[in-house]
Amino acid sequence: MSINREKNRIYINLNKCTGCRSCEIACSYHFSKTFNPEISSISVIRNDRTGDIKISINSTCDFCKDEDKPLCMKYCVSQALSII
Amino acid sequence: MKKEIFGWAGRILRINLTNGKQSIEPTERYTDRFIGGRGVGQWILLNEVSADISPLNPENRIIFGTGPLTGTLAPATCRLSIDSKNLLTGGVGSSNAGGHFAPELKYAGFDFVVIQGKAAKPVYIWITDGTAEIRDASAIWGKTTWETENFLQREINERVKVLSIGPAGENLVKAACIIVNGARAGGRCGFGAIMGSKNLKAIAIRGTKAVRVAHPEEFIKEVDKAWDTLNKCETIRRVRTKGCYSGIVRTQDTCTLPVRNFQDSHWEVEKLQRTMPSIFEKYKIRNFSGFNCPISCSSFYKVNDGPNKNLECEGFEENLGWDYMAKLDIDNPVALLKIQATCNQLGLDLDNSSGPIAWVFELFQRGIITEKDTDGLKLIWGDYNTVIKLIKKMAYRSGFGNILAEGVKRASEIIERSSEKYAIHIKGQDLAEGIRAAKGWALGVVVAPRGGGHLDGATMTGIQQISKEVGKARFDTPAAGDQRSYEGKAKVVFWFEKFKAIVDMLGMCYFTSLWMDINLLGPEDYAKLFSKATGKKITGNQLMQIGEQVCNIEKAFNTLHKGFKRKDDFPPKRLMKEAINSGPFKGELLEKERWSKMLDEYYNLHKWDKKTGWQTKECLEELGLVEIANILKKAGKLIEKTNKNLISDKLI
Repeated sequence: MSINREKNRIYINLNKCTGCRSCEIACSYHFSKTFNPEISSISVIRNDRTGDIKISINSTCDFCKDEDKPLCMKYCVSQALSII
Repeated sequence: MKKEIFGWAGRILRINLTNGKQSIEPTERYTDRFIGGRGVGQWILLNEVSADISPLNPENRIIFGTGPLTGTLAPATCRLSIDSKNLLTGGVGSSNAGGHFAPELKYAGFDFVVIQGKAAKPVYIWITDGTAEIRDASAIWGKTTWETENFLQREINERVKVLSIGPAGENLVKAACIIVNGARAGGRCGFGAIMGSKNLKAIAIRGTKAVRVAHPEEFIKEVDKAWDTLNKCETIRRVRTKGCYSGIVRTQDTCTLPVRNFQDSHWEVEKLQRTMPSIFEKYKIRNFSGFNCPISCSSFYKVNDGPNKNLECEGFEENLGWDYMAKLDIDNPVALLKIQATCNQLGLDLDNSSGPIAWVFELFQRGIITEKDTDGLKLIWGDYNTVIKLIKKMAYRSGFGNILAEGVKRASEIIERSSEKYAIHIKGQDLAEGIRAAKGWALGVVVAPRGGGHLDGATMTGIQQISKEVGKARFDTPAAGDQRSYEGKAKVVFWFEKFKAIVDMLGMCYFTSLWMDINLLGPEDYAKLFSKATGKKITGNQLMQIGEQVCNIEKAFNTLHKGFKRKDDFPPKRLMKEAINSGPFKGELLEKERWSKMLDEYYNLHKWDKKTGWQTKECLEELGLVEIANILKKAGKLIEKTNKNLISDKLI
């Protein structure tokens, strides 16, 4: 996948997200080869009373350079993340 | 130089609530033998809780455990193992909850939290990055699990993960469970009441540390294979889109529903049509997943109309369909959601709370009890408003609810009037599953050491109708896929008992395994994930042997604490006398003679004594559990003579 880091963005479809946070640990693996949501560029907070979900992606995201596609997308089985 | 540990966090947090003291113990002390989760939890329990300690005694332990894969990218590594002495049976207790708590514990730097003692006043425990603090819980004592979680997230941080008990646990109700994330239950065994007896309202956790694996690149290759296996599996795709409850159709077709307190096993078709999985779709907001779970068996619902307008809750597993739908004859979908939400808030296990309620409905149907017994309530099947009233009465031990709060076995001893005939339990714990139509499923449920439950050796191979070839290749019995047949089922149950222990030790969800669908992960797949994560090479067969050890630890606990024998491994008498009344398996029951033969085969495979059902010295020595043999011998509960038949039978 050819990603233009200036033009492309990761699009979040909140309706599809299940709040599993696989994207967070996949992201941390990309940066550190360890599993640690704390260092992830993407953050998912789910409110278990209302079912609402908040997702944010910070400026440390490098679209997983050297990978075929961003790992957050690769492990998102609900396809809530895509490149636009 | 400090030795590097991969997979595990390396530390066990121990807290004594009586004196407030904390200590740290290296996880490695146990992991070489029992890996993690249920394996380590059960070993600690056997060694630290003696037979004279009652479940509610402060010296009983409650152990919260993770596994070496918890918090990694291996799929569905979200399960929390909970081990303690069983409040309903007085024997071994073990539970397992999903959600997001277990990985957070690992990120906070602990593999286990072992709690003993009793706090002088209500407390909660706050754990973060290697430290723990016992805090005053007076502001949340008496509150629901939802109010408790909301309070702790407001007080500490919205990212905090919480497990808690509701009023049911505080009131020592036997059906009380532990609730994670407000909806995921550590059910069965009365563990909510065990926490309540310790004055422990909740545990809140936040962790920012990393979980490291020994060979990251090789581990990720195994992870990708596992994800790929799950994604290709038709059963997983069905659960992902329609939820765990979608299995209810097959449960109806295979006659394994506990209709109206086990009076039948096949529900009226028109009632099921009113509660089909598709009916719930109109209330569904989104799929809901446990941590790093690609299966997403749960959903979040919101009701927009009717008397329960604005009801919002996560739900629900297929158990709700067995427990409150079939067992109580409730065919109103919104009422079922309301019941799920009410039980979650009050901290009541669906399986164990529905048992006593369905039982008194049947007693009322038969005229054994009347409105004079029930605080004036008429108990008419399907009347969900009355069911909800009884749920609340049970949780608060109010009036008639004080009897229900004891579980069916004890409650039938209180009510008497031959009511025990309709009190359906295994070893003292309420039965949840319909079992007459599927013999392998039934055997696994009945011999489960914690007292019933389909999540030990119970096999779905019959219900799934696997082929003779697959049955022969995987379980050494072509009859594995024939649900009516008693043939070969002991072999399959023996296999799944060991296998389930593996999954529980690693911290993964059983839905990732070939229990759920024969095409899913097996022992070798788990062995590869374990080896690459921890750097310790192991094979699938070696994992299965450790699984067998764990089964024997639990068996020994039951023998030592309750002296359960062969007679306790038989189904409730009613299910051996009364056949299924309707549906494709009409006429099926559990025949005593054939059950007895199946039990012989099962004991032979374990090398347990057929006469008593107890463990033999030979079995324990072969498994390297000499310590357990010595403990049983000291208690006069070890069978020392070698029965030659045992050996020849096992070879067959």
